Amino acid sequence: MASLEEIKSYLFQKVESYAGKKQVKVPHLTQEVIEHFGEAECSKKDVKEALKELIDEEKLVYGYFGGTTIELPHVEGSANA
Amino acid sequence: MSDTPMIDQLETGPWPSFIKDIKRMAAKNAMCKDLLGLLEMSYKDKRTHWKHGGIVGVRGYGGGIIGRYSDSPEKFPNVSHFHTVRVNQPSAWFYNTGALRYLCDLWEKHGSGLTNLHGSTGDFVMLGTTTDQLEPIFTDLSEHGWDLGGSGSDVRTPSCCNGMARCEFACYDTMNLCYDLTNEYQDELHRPAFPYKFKFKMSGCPNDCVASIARSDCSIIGTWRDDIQQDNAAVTEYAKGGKVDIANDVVAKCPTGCMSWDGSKLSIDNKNCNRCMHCINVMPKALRPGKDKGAMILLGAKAPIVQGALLSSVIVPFIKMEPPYEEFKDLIRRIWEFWDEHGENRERIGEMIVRIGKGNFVEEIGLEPLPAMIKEPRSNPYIFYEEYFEEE
Repeated sequence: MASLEEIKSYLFQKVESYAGKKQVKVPHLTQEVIEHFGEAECSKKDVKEALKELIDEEKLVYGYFGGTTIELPHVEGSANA
Repeated sequence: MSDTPMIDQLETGPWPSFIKDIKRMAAKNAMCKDLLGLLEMSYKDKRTHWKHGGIVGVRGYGGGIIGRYSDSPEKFPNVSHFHTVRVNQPSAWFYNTGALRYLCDLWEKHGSGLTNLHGSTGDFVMLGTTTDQLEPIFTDLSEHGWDLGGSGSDVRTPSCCNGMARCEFACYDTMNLCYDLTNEYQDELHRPAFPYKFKFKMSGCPNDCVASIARSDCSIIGTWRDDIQQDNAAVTEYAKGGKVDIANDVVAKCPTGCMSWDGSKLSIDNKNCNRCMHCINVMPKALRPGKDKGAMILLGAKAPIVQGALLSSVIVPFIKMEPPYEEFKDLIRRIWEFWDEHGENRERIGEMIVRIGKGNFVEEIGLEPLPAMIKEPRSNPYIFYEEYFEEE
């Protein structure tokens, strides 16, 4: 089984790779993480737990653009204006 | 001349005007003053000057805050941020005056003071605050026993009619179920992980006072499965009283034609009654819902956003709705698992059912197909049953 830390690390990398390119959503991320580790090694519940920790640690944040997205924390352009 | 001649016109009609309310608040709140200016500019330019969305929220929560920014912060600096906060309302919107005073005082301290009671999801909606005020607002709310509601791709704040608290027709305790589901699905409410939003609405009887059949992905509508309770003496009183014309006002308006009236006796063919409530509403002293009460579960309503509007249709014709609601929660778990697996981005559950076919959906979530699931049972003759197919 993949460890929680391994799942968190890969999940974070995926979000980082999408930053500035695509508004990525939870079902899409979950699917990608499970495909990476394999269903035998990583379940939906594991991804959910990893995401919860990353959000609570403020390494990732929720956003909203036509549905909920997962993003790296940043100061929005609109907020600076 | 006024600075806002276009929106001033909105105060001239016969109805109460939100402009009047904003102007009243503008006397003591700078956000409201700039809000009027921005709104006037939108009417003049014929387009919105709000930008919607973003990453605003409170720590750990993915719902409850809706980001709003103005595209003209230099002209209207006090509404450069104008975020909305959704507060999870009490079941059936029962507040005492102390609770309302607290919420209003909180909002005057941290926001524009403008509220919207209630949003279509049911939340107590607070309009207009800045990003730096969000955490203090959330902390204050939490310390006083309140929580944020849902937004985004999550379970939206469950809402219900006032059920057994005030209504004699309630077939189950809507307020208890609403409170129970709100607690049960805290994770799903605050941490959005679905393809799109999912709304629960609970009505105690088929009158459906919260319009759950049109406004929720999962409508839980009270019903009964035995016969309508009938008091023949009271029927006679209605007939003699002259205020109700039983033949025309009741029998002729029965949608399934399951009632008859011979001038002295009212007969109901209960097997053909579809629980529309019309006869009970007209003669509440003579007719009442049956004694074997529960609820009907319907799925799929939505307003037009990505696709057109849908009404809910029956998925479970009758279920006993009593704590701890395990049978219902088990069904919801199966529905969510399937939707999570097969739902497309921003696809509501009703849209998915239309896309894949209700028969397939019912099979996948482990239910037996029943005639009551047919959306228009008396108008569609094209029903095929597998047992009638000849084997080759």
